[in-house]
Amino acid sequence: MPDKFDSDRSGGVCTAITGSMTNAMKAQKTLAVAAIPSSVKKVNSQGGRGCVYGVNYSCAQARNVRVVLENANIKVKQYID
Amino acid sequence: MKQKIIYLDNAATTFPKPPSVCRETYRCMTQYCGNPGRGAHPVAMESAEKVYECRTLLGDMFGSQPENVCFTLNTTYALNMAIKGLAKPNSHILIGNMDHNSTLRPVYALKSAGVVEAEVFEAYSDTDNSTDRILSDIDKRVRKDTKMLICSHSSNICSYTLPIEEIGRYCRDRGIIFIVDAAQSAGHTVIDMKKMNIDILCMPAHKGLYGPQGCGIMILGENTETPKTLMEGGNGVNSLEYTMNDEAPERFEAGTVNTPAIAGLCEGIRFLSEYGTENIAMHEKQLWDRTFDYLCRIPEVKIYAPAYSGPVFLFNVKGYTSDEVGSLLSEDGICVRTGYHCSALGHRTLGTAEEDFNGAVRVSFGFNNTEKDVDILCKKISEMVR
Repeated sequence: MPDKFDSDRSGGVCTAITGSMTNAMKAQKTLAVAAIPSSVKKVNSQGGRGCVYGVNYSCAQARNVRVVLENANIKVKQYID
Repeated sequence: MKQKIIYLDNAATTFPKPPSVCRETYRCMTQYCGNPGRGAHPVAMESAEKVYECRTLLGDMFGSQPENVCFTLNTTYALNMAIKGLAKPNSHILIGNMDHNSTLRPVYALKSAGVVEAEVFEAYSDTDNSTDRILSDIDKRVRKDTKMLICSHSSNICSYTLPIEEIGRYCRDRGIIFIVDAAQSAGHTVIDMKKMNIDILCMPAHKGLYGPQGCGIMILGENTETPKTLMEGGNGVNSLEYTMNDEAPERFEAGTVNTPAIAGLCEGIRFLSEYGTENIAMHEKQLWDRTFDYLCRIPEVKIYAPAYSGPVFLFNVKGYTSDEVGSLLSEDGICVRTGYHCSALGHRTLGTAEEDFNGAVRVSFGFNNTEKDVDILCKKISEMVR
């Protein structure tokens, strides 16, 4: 099933890896409050450690996403831009 | 059950549950009960959303963040995780003289193993329960190596409640970890972890929050030190690692959480919000007062902690053991709990451990109870002494 951001022609899909499902959900809801659409995704093999969760969003929003998540003290283990 | 039941054992578990709780538990089990945090397919994600929703509701209710809300087997497990996860070797721990065995026994186990020294402070006294007296008693027992204080917010054998905001402030000022057993107070009174300086708050889903059994809650304060884990296992994060991850809540949730119970708990919390915790507390107090007004006129009835009205009423009837009273009440479908209520310290403090009644009779009110329930109970007791 295509990611809902696939059709965003301004930059593709970026990911913020948060680790646990709970942190991914918190990130998704925090971004939603800031009117930034995102979706929780399972990401495999982060550095060979196994499965983790993160949020996908339009890369056009990459800078805003970082600001919003940092301001909300949501720990992001890795940004994949 | 064909006999009409008058359920007066809500301190053990609230019964019956609100219909919305039952409906949502059933809806979960039939429509979306995947394993939350274990996959990314629609059923797993919907169950994960429901679990997160519950974390958010609890965080809002008790003054913390959703990621600090950890689901456990029950309150006892939550207290064990908190106490054993943060106990410092060769330190000193204080617990209250009305604390439940779920605090006493893990602390006693640590003490017996030589990990800590432990002491009981006088949370309840027959003569003076002012905040100053309680803090003064704590203060005279605190030592340089006192690192933790645990207490029950409300007793499970009477309606006595501790001034935990003041105790929390005292502990915060001295760098003492403050753990609160809210098993009997969650849902009955407002608890704000930030305002009350609570480091860890433990409670069950199935008592004052009107959720199903099989789920407890441990909520960490925002700046609480991360406890060691009591149990390790799969939690859906970093599956190739041999160790648990560092962050709550998944760090403390090895194994599958009780998703149907958590789903039902969401509705229990909504029920409380709609009805109003303070309204339920007032209702319980009115029932306690009605019971007291009737039974205090019977000379054979001995009432314990009579100065404190609320959800729990403790008494005995002269000429009967507590179990005999319980049996007679059961004949008429009146459900109470008798004996020692998993409260060795509480019964010793109130003196019931040394009397000939074999503990005491506990009546505990809930949302579903009515004045008629009280009248039937009291009439039956008065018949016992005729």
